[in-house]
Amino acid sequence: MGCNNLVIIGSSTGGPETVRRVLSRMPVLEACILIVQHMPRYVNESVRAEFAEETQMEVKLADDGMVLRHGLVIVARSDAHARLAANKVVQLVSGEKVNYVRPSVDVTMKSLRSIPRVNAIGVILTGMGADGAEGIRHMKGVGGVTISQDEASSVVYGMPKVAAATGCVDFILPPELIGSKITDLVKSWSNGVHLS
Amino acid sequence: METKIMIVDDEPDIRAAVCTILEASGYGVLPVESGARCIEELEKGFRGVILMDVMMPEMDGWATTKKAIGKGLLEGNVVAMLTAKEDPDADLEEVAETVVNYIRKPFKPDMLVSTVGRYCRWLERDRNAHLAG
Amino acid sequence: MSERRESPVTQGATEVRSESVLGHEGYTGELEKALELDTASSIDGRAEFERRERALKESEEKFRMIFEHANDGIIYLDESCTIIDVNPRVEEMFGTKREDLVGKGFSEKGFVLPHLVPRILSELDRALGSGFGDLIEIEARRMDGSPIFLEASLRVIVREGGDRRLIALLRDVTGRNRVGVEMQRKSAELLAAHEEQQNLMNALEEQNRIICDSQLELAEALDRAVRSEEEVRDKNEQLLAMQENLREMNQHLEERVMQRTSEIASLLRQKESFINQLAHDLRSPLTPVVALLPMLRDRQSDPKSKEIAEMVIRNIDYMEDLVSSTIKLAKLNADVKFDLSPISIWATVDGVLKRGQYRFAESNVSVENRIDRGVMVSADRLRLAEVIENLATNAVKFMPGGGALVFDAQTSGEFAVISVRDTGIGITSEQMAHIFEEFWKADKSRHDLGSSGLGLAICQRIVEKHGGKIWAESEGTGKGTTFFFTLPLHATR
Repeated sequence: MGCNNLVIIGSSTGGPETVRRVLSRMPVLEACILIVQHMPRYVNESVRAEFAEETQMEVKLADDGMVLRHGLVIVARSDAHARLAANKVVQLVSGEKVNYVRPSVDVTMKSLRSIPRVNAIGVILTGMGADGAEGIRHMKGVGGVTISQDEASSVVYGMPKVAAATGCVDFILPPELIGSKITDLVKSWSNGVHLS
Repeated sequence: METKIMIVDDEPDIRAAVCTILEASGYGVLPVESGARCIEELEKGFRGVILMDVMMPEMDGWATTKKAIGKGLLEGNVVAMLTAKEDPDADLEEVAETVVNYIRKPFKPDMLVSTVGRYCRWLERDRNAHLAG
Repeated sequence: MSERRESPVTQGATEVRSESVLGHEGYTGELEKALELDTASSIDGRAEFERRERALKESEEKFRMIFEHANDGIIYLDESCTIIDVNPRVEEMFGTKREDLVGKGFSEKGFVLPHLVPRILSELDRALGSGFGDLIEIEARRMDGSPIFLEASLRVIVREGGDRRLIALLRDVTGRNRVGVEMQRKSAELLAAHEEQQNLMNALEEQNRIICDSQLELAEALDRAVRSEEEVRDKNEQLLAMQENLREMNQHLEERVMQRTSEIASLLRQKESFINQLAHDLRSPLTPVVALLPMLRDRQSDPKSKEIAEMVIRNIDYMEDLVSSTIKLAKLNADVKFDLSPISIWATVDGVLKRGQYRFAESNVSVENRIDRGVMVSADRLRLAEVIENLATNAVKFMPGGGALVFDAQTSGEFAVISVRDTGIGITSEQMAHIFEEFWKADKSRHDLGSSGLGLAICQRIVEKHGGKIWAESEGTGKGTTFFFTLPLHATR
C-alpha cells in the first residue's frame, strides 16, 4: 500500500517546541510526515524522542531507503539532505550545504514530483534564514497545499516570512491550527475529496 | 557528569539571576561576561548548554557563535540566544543549524528552567548513547 | 470794286430778255437792237460798230470769266429772294446743277437749314433796307446732305427801272468752320473732360479726404493700439514679476514645508527611537527582576511576605507588558509596509476565537462569530488578527462577571464594517473621547494592571493605516459597548 498523502515540515531555530505543538493536535494520520529540523547531529535522537512523546504515530530518524508510509513520522538526520525518490522512498544524500544548512528543506521539498501523484502539504515553521521558501514555491507548483507559521507565534519569524513572501502560501497559522489544518486536509483526502 | 550551563552575558545581574534560578533547580552554571571569555571556556573544553546574550560590547552573541562554529568548538553544545531584541539581525543563516532557540528577555524563570532542562536531557541522552556504544 | 456797279452794258440797255448774265443770245440781241438803231449810219459807223462790238465782247468776256471762275459762290436773286442765277462755284458748293436752283426760292431746296431761314430772311430784309447786309455765317446743306458752312455777304443793287436785285456772295468756310467746329467740339470735349476731370478731381479729393480721415483714424487707432499694447506689455511684465514672486514665495514655502516636515519626521523618529531605546533598555533590568521574583515569592514562608512578593510580581509583569506593547507600537509606526492580501474576516476572527477559547471560557464569556464567510477585505493578515485580538481582550476585560461577545460584519460601499459587541460595563460619553489615546486607561487611577493602555491605540493605528476608521458606541455605564472598525473590501474584478 503506497503513501498517497505526504506532509513535509521544515523548521529551524525554535523548531522542536513548535513541531511538538503541531503534532499535539494530530491523531494518527493517514499520511506520512517528513520533518526537516535544523539541529546539531548529537541532538537528533533527543529531538526525535521529543516528537515521539507528542504523537501516537511512529517517529523515526530517516535512513537511506526508508519507505514512506501512512502513520509514519520521519525526522531528517543532520549532515545529509533527505531527498524523495519517486515520491516513495527517502534518499540520504551528502553534498554541499544548501542555504547554509544540511539537511535543507528546499532539497526535500523540491524532490517532490508531480508524478506519481501524491497529495502533499508543505509547512514552514519558525527559523532564521530562507530555507524552505523555494521548496514551498515548488510544492505549490506541483499542486500541493502550503502553510507557513504566523509571525506572532514564531520564535524567529525568518523562514516563515520568506516563505510567505513567495506568495505561494495558502495558509498562515499558529502551530495548533496548523495541526488541525493538516488533520482536516488529510481526512478529506482519505474520504476521497482531493484538494488540489 | 552533570550537564553544565554557560551563561554569556555582560550584565552581572542577569548572570546572577540565571545562576540563582538554575542552581536552585540543581543545574551547574558557568557565568561568563563576554564572548571572548566564552570562546576561552569552549577551548578549555566546555560542553553543555550555552545561553548567549546577543547584545554585548566588543563581540556580540552572533559573532561569538560564528567564531565558535568556525573553530569547531560548538560540537556537543546546545546554544540558545538570549536577547531583549525583538528580531534577530540579518545574516544569521550560518548559525541556523546550531542555534536551537531564541529566548527573549525578560523571561519567566520556569520557562528558562524547563527549556534548559530539555537541552540538558538532549545532551545527556547523546552522552548516554555514546557511552552505550 | 468800284462804286459804279453798273456795267457799261446795262447803261444803255432798257430791257433784257432773259435774266442771264451769261445769255449770249440775249446779250447779242441787245446788241443787235442797239445796233439796229445805228444801221443807217455810215461805214464809219460800221467800223465804230465793230469796234464797239469788240469792246463789248471783251468786256463780256472779262465779266464772264470773273463770274464763272470766282472762288466764291455768287447767287443772283430778285427782291422776292428767288434765285435768278448762280455761278459754277455755287453748283460746286451745293453739289447741284444751275438748273435745279434757278427760279427757286433760296430756302426751297433744303439747302438752308430751316431754323436758319428766319434769320436769313431778316438779314435779307435789312439788306434790302440798308443796301447791304452784314457778313453772316450760316450752316447749309449740300445736295447729299452734308453740312457746309458759308460766310455770306449780301449786296442789293437797284436796276434801271427801280427794281432791285440781290447779290449773295458765298464763301465756303466749312474748312475753317470745321476747324472751328472741331475746335468748339474739342473745346466742348475739353470742357467736358475738364469738367469730368474736375469731377474726378473732386471725387479724388473727396476720396483723398476720406482716406485722409481714415488714415487719421487709423493713425489714431494704431496709436491707441500701440498704447494699449504697451499697457498690455507693462501688465504682462507686472504679471511675470508677480508670477516670479509667487514662484519664489512658493518655493520658499515649499522649502519651509519640507524643512518642517523633515524636522517633524526627524522629531518623530527621535521620539520613536527614544521609545524603542527606552523599552529595550527597560528589558534588561526587568530580566533579573522577572526571573527572580517568583523564586523570592516561593521562598517566603510568611504569607504576608508571599503576598507582598506576589504584588511585586504583578507590577513587574505589568511593566513587562507595557514595554512589549510600547515596542510593538513603535514598530507599527516605523513599519510602513503592510502586507495586503485578500483576507476573510470570518476566518481571522475564527482563528482568534479558537486561540483564545480557554481564556474566554475562564472568563465566562460566550463568543459568537456571525460574520458572513464571504466578506473579503484587503488587509494585512497579522495586523487584522492583532486588532481582533486586542478588541476581544478589551471586551473580556470589561466583562468582569462574564458576558457575551459577538462579532459581526456589514458591507458599506467599498468598505466592510466589522462590529465587536460586548455586554460589559460600557463607556461613558466622557470616556469616549479618550479611549483611543495612547496609554489612556478607563480606570483613572491607572491601577488597571491588566493592560498597558496601548491596545486600542494600536488598533487605531492599524485600522487607519489600512484606510479605515475605528470608533465605539455605548449607551452608557452598564449598557455594553460595540466597537466598529472599517476596512477596504477586497475588490473582485
